Amino acid sequence: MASAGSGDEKAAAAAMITLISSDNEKFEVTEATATLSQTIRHMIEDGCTDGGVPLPNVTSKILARVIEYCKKHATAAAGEEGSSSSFSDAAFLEVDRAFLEELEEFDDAFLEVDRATLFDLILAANYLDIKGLLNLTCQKVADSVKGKTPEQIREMYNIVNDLTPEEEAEIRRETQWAFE
Amino acid sequence: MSFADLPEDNQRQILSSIPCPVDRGRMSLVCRSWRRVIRRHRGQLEGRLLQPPPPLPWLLLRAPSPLGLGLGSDRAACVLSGGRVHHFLDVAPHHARFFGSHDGAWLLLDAGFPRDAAPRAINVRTGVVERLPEGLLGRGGAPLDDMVVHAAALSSTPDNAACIAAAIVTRVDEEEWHQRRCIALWRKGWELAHEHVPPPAYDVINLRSWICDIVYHEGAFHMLAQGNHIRVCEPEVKQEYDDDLFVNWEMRRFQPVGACYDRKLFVHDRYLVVSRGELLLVLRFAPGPNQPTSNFKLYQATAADATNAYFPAAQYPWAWSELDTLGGRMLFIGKGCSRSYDSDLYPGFEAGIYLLDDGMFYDDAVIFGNGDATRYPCCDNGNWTEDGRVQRCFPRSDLSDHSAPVWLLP
Repeated sequence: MASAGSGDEKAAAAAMITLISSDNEKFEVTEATATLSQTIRHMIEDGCTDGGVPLPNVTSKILARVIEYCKKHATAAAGEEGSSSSFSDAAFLEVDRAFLEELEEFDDAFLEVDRATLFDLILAANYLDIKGLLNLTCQKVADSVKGKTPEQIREMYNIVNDLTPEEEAEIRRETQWAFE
Repeated sequence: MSFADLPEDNQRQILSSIPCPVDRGRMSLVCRSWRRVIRRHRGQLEGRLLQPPPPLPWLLLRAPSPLGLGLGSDRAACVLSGGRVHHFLDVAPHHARFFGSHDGAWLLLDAGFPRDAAPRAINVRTGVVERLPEGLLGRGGAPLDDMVVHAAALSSTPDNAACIAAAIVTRVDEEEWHQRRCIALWRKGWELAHEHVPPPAYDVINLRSWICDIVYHEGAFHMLAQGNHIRVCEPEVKQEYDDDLFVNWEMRRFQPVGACYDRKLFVHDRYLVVSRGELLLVLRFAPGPNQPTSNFKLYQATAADATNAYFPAAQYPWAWSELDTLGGRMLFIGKGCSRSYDSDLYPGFEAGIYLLDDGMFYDDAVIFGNGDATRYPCCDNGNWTEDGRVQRCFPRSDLSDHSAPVWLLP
């Protein structure tokens, strides 16, 4: 296991990390993939990843999805570094754009999950401190609510309305435009 | 597991992507736990003495054709909510045409021609209705004529006793059926508007019939005339004359901006907007007549260029100087009701010019219903950004039998 901050990039790229989900499933990932998580990056820097990284807050089902995200985006990050150090001619820009579009498509497809999984992904992204994934999933929740009526939101998230008519009236008074 | 069970940080992040107060209000109405989250978030903002920014205008699209009673069929699409339709409003009378709007959810309506209901200002939020003048008293006490209002600007909300309005109108009398455009002013409560004629300016073409936009700014109506000159009209109520309305006119001559026009583009329309206390000129371009908007240019009023030999500063003391960027402004342009906001206050939003399809606002054939073109196109709406593109961020709309779209200023 390469220790952190060794500066030996080849060794770092080849190094593998073992992540252990709450239900004890083990996942082997490259360090480049794992370090999209700031939490894991710090653990690697502190040299405490021997024998695997236990993630008691993340189930194997969610961890598999998180790793899928990180793999794709780690490749993207590596690609970006690669192209910025080379010629910035039109061909490279074209490749970049194609890659970004592909990444966007990946993100869109990645978010096609049920509501429960979406919230689990937010919690995992929060715990693992993966900024890109957190932004993506929070934005998805925000977009799902915008322009909807309270009834539509309740249906979408299986929520029972427990507000009394008095409370509803009070909220309507506070928020002048919330009718319908 | 739901939004209300997430850690507070995540709730805050999600809410920061939902800037629209209506969306948040509706989230409060979902259930108790959601309400608590929204309340706590608002409390934290207030604790840091942060005021939520003013809501941005909504695009109000008139129903394409008459619908049954009781069903809100006018769509209000909200920029803060990503152009989504927020409300289905029911702005009566259903066949009335919007000719303007004012802050505080006021809409100005004219019930068509010939008229079967008085023009009115309606507050869409409270339902309050203020009657507006139905006819026009010509200058010199000429007999009463009918009028059609194309655009109007107000000095304050229409329910304010001191409210004064200035409007671009077409005066309609029996002998002289069409094409008699003039400026009308009225005070709140007047049954008739009064025609006001600016003093002649012989060195420029007849200005009176060519006013194409009006804004109220620093106590006066500023009217955009042909040649991009400005007529300033400062109203004054004189108590010694039974509170009648008098007007002080001032002519501001501008050196032409013609050199800046791109010959390949057609000037589709021109607007005035007050932004950060200053008057700006907005030129709207299209590749040709009746084509969708493709570009904008923005100008600031400055002192004339003293080296211009053709239009000497002595005669043309003003100039329009082109601004390279929008400078973080979000401009909403519409006849008589353009507004400017700062994108800084709206995280996730960029500078841009929001446009609506008011191409027919002057078209007498449409307004008077003579000819075949009796419908309003409502499709050239969107957001122009500094990269030169127009994003069609609002819902698609068919032609409307009744009205062009209008900004609703909530």
